[in-house]
Amino acid sequence: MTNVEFRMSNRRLVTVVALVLACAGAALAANTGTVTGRVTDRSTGEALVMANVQLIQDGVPTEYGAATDGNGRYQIINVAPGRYTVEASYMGYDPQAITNVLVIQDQNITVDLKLAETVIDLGIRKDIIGSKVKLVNPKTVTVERIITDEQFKRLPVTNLAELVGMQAGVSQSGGQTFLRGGRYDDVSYLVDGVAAQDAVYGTLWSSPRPTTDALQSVVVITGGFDAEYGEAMSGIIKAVTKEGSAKTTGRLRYTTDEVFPVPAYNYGYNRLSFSLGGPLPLVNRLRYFLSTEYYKTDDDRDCRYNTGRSPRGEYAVEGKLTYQFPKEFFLTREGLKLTLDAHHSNYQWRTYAHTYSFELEALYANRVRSYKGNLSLNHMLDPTTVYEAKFGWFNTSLMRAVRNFEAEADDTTGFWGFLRQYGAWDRYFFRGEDWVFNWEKYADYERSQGVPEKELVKNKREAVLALYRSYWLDRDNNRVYRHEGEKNFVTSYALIDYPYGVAGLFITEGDNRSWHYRATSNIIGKVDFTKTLNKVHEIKTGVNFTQYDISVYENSLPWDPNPFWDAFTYEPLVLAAYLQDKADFEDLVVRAGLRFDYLDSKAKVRAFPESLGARPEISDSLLPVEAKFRLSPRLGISYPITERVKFRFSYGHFFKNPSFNNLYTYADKSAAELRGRGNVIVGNADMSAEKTIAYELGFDAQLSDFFQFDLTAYYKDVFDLSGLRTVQALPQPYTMFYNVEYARIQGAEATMTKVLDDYWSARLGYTFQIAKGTASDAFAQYQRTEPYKIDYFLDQDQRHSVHGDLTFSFPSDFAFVLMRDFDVSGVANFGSGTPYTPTDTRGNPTGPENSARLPSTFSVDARVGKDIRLGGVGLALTCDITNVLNAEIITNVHTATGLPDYTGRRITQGEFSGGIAFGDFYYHPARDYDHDGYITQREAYTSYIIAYRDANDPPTYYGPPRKIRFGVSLSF
Amino acid sequence: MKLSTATSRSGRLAAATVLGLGLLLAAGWFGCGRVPPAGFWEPSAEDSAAIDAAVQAHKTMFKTSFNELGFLACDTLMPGTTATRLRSEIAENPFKQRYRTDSLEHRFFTDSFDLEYSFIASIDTLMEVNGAETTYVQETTATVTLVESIPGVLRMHAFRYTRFLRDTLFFPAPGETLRLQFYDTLFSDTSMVVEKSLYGTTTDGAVLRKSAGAWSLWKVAGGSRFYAPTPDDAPYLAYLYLTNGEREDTMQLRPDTLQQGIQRFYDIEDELPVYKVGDSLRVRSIATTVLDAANYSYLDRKRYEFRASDKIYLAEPGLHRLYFEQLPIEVLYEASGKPFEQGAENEGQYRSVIWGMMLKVEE
Repeated sequence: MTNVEFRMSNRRLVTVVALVLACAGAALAANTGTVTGRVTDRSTGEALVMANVQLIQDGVPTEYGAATDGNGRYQIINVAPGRYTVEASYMGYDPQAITNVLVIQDQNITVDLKLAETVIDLGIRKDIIGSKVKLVNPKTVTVERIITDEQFKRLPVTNLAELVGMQAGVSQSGGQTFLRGGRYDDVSYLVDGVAAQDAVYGTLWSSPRPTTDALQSVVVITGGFDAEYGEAMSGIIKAVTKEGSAKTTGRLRYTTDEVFPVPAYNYGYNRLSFSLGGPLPLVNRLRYFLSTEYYKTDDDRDCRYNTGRSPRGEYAVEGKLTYQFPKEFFLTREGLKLTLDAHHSNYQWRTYAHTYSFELEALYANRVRSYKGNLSLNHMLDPTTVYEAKFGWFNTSLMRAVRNFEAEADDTTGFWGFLRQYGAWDRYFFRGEDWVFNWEKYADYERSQGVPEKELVKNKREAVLALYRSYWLDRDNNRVYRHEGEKNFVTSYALIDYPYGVAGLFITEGDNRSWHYRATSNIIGKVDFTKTLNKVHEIKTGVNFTQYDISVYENSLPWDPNPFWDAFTYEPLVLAAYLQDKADFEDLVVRAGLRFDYLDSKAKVRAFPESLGARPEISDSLLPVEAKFRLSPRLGISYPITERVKFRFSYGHFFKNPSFNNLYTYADKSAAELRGRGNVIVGNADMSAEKTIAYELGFDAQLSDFFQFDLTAYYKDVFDLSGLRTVQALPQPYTMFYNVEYARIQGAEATMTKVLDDYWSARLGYTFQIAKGTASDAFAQYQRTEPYKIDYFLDQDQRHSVHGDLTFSFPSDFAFVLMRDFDVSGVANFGSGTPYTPTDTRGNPTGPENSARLPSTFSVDARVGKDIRLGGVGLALTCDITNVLNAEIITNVHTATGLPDYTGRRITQGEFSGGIAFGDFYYHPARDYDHDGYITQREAYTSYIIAYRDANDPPTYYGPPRKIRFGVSLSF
Repeated sequence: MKLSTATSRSGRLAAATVLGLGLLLAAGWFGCGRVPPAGFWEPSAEDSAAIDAAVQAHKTMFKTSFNELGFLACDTLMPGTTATRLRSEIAENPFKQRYRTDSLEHRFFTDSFDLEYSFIASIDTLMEVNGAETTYVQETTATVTLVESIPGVLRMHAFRYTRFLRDTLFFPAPGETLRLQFYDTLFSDTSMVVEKSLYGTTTDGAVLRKSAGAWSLWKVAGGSRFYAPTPDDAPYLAYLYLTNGEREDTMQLRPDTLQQGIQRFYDIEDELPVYKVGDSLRVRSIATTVLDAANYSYLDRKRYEFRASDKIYLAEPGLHRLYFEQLPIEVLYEASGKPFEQGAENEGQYRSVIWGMMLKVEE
């Protein structure tokens, strides 16, 4: 099978889509699971025909149920993820209930029940036993790492990114997550089946995350995923949020480290969450789940020590309403559920850069604001057929610029002012934000001030370009805060106004040059069908569209009348459809699928990219970009040897459109604009999708009732990756994106799992990988005159990584009273060093690209938890200790030495002239050790060395030290 | 038996868990988390107040004397001076710029002396070697920079004038003699006022030291420096020689290790130039980029026009500031070239440099 790339008209496209859909029979709803099994007589092993099997949640029977067939088998499809009790009953037999059965999205859980005949003398007795999970699922053809809410509770992690990072095949560095050596934007991140990542750059964790209370489960697939998943080459992270159950439950949780009086442990960390869910009064079928989370810390940088000046704040609210229609109506007989969910979050943070450590207010801050809403219909037509339709809207924006502290200081009234005054929430205001996004207000004001009409800003685009003369008004629009002589943006300089008094090392005044805003507003539609045709075949199909509305406004020299600036708005359309068959033969499971992806970028490209000449009819002529589509085949095979051992194989073509930034940035600029400002990177909307061909071979074995082992070897060829190349245009060259990069990734993952039994559970995962390619990311070859054509070890090539966790969990009936409801868990992470390019002290490479390696890292985290029942309320106390060993984790080094604190540069006294006197611009008392008003050569040298050592030993080159947090939660 | 085994195993597990827990807690509680490097010392509010008090106590030392009568006015050029100079200087260079006024009196008018100061306080660790013994001591100091803004006007009163127009050159036909037009050495009586806008700043400095919990003045700059309108636009005075007849001190703007420097700090106890009561000082010579300038000295409310022979008598013991002032000569005439009869005009800008050298006069 090979992939095919087509360019075609919309009419042909519609035809193709219709054909694909016509072939489709049904599809598995993406966010539900299946419970299957067999009900037999315990003593004889005979199948019990027409036995009733029902799922019970929180003690309340659910809508989910089935009757066994002639072989005693049952199948309950379309089950919402969660924990259930599976209960089977049969005339003349004692019912049996298997508790704590975890249903995961897209997973087929097998629960076999063995019923005992009723002894008349004893009466009917329900046999209740705990779930014994089948550790090897013969129906899956790839390795899927499942993260449950229980792991969230027990393991010392606070967010989804940390949990994902603990999985085999996952590596993290620089705040990015890499799956199996792919690029950071090769991953698809889905929440309730809908893509939730930043579409402009493809980054993962700046996009909205479900609150931790709302997370039901997360599945990480590091390769070989089915045809229903697209827009990803490395893997899938799919989260499912909770919905209200039959019983009202709630939880209030607070975690803090502010109990410590010393800054070494007190990071000002506060996380408060609250969730409430259950049936609405009087309308039992209408259930809700509300969740909110608030987080604030003084230092989110996670570096060598508590800088105390890298604040982060987050709040998020989300809710889900579900209505299960009564079964009386014929259309709803098998089940019809309507779900409405909404999410709003606001994350804001200021990073920490050591060069700005004496003027951090000059460094940019960030704000990610997101809104999301989905309406879903899940309809079961008959016990073998179900479809789910979803319609949603998702809006997320990121603002990155220097903060407007003066405007923030005026934010003292109203609700937000109240929160600011009490230190609960500092609403960020950004320089120039108002100027761009309320440009009409400023135009009116300037008009009233007699500014000529031709000088007024006419739109957002012009406002971005005119940031150099921006100012802002107070709320009454009658007070100008900054203008003309006192600019909104000032060039930054590294001068002497700081305690070292040495120029050229630390920023001391001005503003960071970043001014960036991007937003995506998506409308999504999605339909998925599942049809179990017979014992063997289960067909899935689905179609989805995403209509994007993307806008980017940026200016990276905001004080300059001729800045690097860009402003664009595009509305690309993405369509996809898939069809796949899960064929479950007795001793072989085959999952074959085909996926169709379509992108209409609705953009134009330069007709003559080599011309930036003065004749606009040539240099500015544009050609429309034709829509593109791809077909990608997928094949997965699972070959069970026994019930506990299987081999699996998967092969697939995986496509992902380049990040929209790579298509659109600077793409609509005229030749004159490109000439006027050199060094620009121009997007290329004519780029094709990036492509991966992956092979995977795996082996799963359940070694005992509690131990499971899996081993997967994989190989990936990655083609057509986005990369930059210089366009030798006349009269001056520029840089543009093309599908030019290549990568080859191979490796193996192994995981040994011990499920919770005998009070302990554990997991040990090992990953080996070799990731080579021509560019670690799309920007890697920027301005390189001779592009790399030979593979080198990519930045994300972490050769060995080991993740392990160990949990002791003591139940409420444990022999030792003090240890009852007590949990202790530890997580250990080891990672070998990632590569970097060695250089001399002037930055000239001294070896091949990425031929040196950072030191390896090792850290241990721990959590201790104690549950206490107080009547109907559960009180839980936790203590989290991260980096228990207080290990010094080196995350970056100077490329000339391989050390984090030494650049290798030899500095001699002769480099300094001395002779700086009191009153001179560069005189600073801190350098004048004898206070005679005269900085000698020796003093200049000595003081420079001291400041230089600090400047080149940044705390950001290290991982975080030991941190301790305490938590308390109340649940009912 | 089975229950017992389970309990025993549970017990071992529990013990291991508790032990591990204990170790974790011990590591967490007693082990030091990494702490940031020690921050830079910053003065407390009490320190700042004490520094402020020490500066205020010496405020008069750091202020220029523009507001004193002697500095405010002086008869810059006595009647006849300009004419005399004119004749002698034209003899050397007939194209040299000339005064067109005579008997000039100039007077500063200003109503806002704004003395502001800032300081940078720090703790230094000093190594002291005493024979074989080396000790390290901490020294807490505050380096104070004082800036005095002096806006106002220079009002000049001319009593006599010539019709000479400066820079008036005549280029005759080839072969003809080059000559100045409108040249006139005859001065007529007049009474006219010319005003020059004045905006200058004086920079001065001092070092305070904290000793036994108290802040006191330790060092002062070799001299204050007044520039109008800016250091770049003011005349540049490089150094001058100060002599009392027995000893000659070189006062430099830029300090070196041998000579007294304006931009340098000196211990007020034992590093300032010392003279005796009764000494007569004179500025022997100056090094400047502006040769065509009027130069003055000022000490203890008396202003002198600089002449190598003029002596300044030191009568009072204590710390004194000897001011030396240099005004480019064009400051002292009306610059527009218009007839002076048209009345007072505010043309051009006042430019000057003034050094206020610190001297110590002992009995």
